[in-house]
Amino acid sequence: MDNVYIVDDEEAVRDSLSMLLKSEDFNTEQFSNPTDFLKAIDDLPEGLIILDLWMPGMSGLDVIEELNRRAISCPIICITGHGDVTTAVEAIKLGASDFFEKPFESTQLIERIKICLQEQKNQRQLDVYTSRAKEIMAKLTPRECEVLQGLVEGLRNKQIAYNMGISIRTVELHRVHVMDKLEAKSLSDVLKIAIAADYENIKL
Amino acid sequence: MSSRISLLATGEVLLKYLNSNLSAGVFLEHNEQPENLYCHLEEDFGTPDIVVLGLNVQDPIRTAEHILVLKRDIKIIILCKDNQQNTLQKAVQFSPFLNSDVISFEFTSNALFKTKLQELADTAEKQRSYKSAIAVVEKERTSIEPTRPLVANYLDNLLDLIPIGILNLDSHGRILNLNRSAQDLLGLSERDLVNAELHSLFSGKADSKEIQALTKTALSGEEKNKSIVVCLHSLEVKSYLEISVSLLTFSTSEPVLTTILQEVTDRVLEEEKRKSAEKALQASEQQLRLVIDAIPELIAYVDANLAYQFNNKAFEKWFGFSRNDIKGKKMWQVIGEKPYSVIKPYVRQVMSGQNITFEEILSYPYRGDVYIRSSYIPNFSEDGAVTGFFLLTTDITQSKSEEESKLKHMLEAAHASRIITIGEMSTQLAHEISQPLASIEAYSSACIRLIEKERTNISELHSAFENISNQAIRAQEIMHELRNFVKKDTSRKKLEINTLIQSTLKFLQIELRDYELNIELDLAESLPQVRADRILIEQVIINLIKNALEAMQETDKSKRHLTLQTKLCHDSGVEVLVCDTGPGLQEYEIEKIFEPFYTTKPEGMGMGLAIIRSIIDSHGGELQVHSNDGNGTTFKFTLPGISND
Repeated sequence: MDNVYIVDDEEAVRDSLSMLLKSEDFNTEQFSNPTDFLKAIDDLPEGLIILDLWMPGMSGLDVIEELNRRAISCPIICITGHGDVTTAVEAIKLGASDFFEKPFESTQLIERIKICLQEQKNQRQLDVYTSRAKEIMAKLTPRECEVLQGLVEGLRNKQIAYNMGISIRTVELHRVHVMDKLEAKSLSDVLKIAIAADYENIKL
Repeated sequence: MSSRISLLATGEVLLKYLNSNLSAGVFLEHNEQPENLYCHLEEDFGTPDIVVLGLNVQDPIRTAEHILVLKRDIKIIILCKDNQQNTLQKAVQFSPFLNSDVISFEFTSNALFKTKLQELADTAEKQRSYKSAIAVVEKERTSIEPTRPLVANYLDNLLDLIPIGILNLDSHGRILNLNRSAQDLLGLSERDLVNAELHSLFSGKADSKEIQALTKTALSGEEKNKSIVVCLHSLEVKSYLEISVSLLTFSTSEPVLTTILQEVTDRVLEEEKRKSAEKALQASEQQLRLVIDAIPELIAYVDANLAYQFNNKAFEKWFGFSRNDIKGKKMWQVIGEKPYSVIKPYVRQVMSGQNITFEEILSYPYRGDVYIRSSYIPNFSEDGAVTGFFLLTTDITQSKSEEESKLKHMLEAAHASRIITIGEMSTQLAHEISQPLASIEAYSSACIRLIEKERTNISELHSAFENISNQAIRAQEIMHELRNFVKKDTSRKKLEINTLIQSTLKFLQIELRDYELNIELDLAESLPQVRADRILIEQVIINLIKNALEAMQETDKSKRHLTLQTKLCHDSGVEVLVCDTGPGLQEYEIEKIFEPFYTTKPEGMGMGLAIIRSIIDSHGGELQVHSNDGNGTTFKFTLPGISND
């Protein structure tokens, strides 16, 4: 179940949103002020934040800035009062995913929450993949890297051997090692991993 | 016996000539001063037959008179220069020369005079021989009254000594004879004066005429003891003489006027001084009076009997009485019983010696209620008793009503600004209303979903609907608050836009003074009336002016100009323009300026122009802005005029 954290000073808004989200099978947790939320966030599982921009004490913008400072990346959907467009725009600039003007339509909000959470999941997967790719790329020797470079550039073994001043046989040997280390079954697998690892020599 | 001739002040030369040329039977004697001669005459010793009064005798007529008084039958020859002949001849025709042998002789040469004198001496000789026959009788007669010449002499001396000028005039006002004081007073010798017209001695035309008139009156004998004062200028000294003329006698063919001169210079000067002092006093009093009359406040003095003693013009005008009507009247008689009952306690206070100032509403007949401010100041006598009081009263009705209307105006403006604030508060209100709306929506939506999924129970739904209901009530309350806020209905009335602008400016005058700037008015005449909410349109004008002032804050003081203009618009409407000379607006600013929340002011909400636009819109007008060429901004709004039907 996905987590949604509601930060709003209005109890009615918090409560109604919570009920709505529960009806869509979200896990919700309510915070009546920004300070409590910021204290708790570190110990909370990942989730989406619904943030009221107009609260007494600390504004929603301050909360976003604080999250940025702590490098906590969660999708944030802001809810704003009527006509408070300037603040909303500011929030988006600071990294909020979207904003809704009160009163909002529940269906749209829920749709948006779902999309944001899906995007977050995708992002997480991509992150995992990238870090793994980087991890195995780091196992390659400099020579193997050079051969990989040649492969990424689409050179034939013969050309690679010529460029490196080694025999075709040796190139073939390196190539096998690279495939092994990257656990790749084909050349295209090798390329996928290199791209995911954001390999520095990839020039598209 | 020989003839005896006494020469008086004739000079040595003539004496010698006569001595050697007259016949031997003539005895000549010579005196420089008449006193010697007088002595001889008085003592009746060596009495001459003929006396010659030489050219050096200054007052020959008086001398002749004197001689005749002493000795009646002496022949007297008065020597004179060419032009005096007639004058002297005339003078000696009158009393006291009547029946006397006095002649004047125009002296031209020694020889001619000698001939004449010889002739006379011969005649005298003859007469004497005739007279000697009756001399004895005569001698007896004169010895009986020995005192007479002395008395005459005494009177004569007395006349000379008294400080009153006495002179006799003929019917033409010419001087016949005069005493010494008269000569002194007139500052001229007898020779100069005799036969001169008295009035001609006075240079002042009016004086001269007066003297003529006076002599004429005296001649007619109508008025007696009349005197006039005339001014005599001689040797730069001004003296004043009192002249009285009376008809003395008709004893001769011609009447004689006796004139008395008296110097009254001191008296006249004293009088003049007194008069000028009096005049100065009068002038200063008059000035004071003018000042007091010019004061628009009512000023009066009330005595201890509560009667008016003094009042100024404003006081008279106020009550419509004349000064004389007011003076002496009791207070209640002038101001009326009813108003007096109001001020009575103050009168009592001032009469006890206190200075007081008060404001009251007095109700005067024909005048209605008048708001006055009065000060009463007691007046004390030397022993400290209150002898009355001064009162100063000002009509402050107008300033009071201005004050009141200003206050009213301010209250109205406050109300208007409350309405305006609603606009500024709309964000806040929308935010507050959006909260319950958002909750209601979310609750409802949740309920629907749960019911659709059949995953709910009655108690969950119950509490959700309870919440929905509560939130709906909250929204209603917010609406209710808003309605309370705009309690007073905005009523639209017919109004003149120019009048409205002028009253608005009056309202802003204090603020404008701080800006040291004059507003130029260019108001079109005979504009149609508009139907509008005065307060709101006033607010629009105030806001536009304030905007303009703020826009010009950075502008050089000398270049700050604010122009308010009204024009006819599309034949039936009016157009109001507010032009400033501030920095003007950029193209992109003009597009955004009417949007809510757009502001260039740090503390501004950015709602001002949006509200102005909505007010103008609601009146069926239009609000526009454009940059002036080169400098400043012009805001322009239109209002539809009231159609004639």
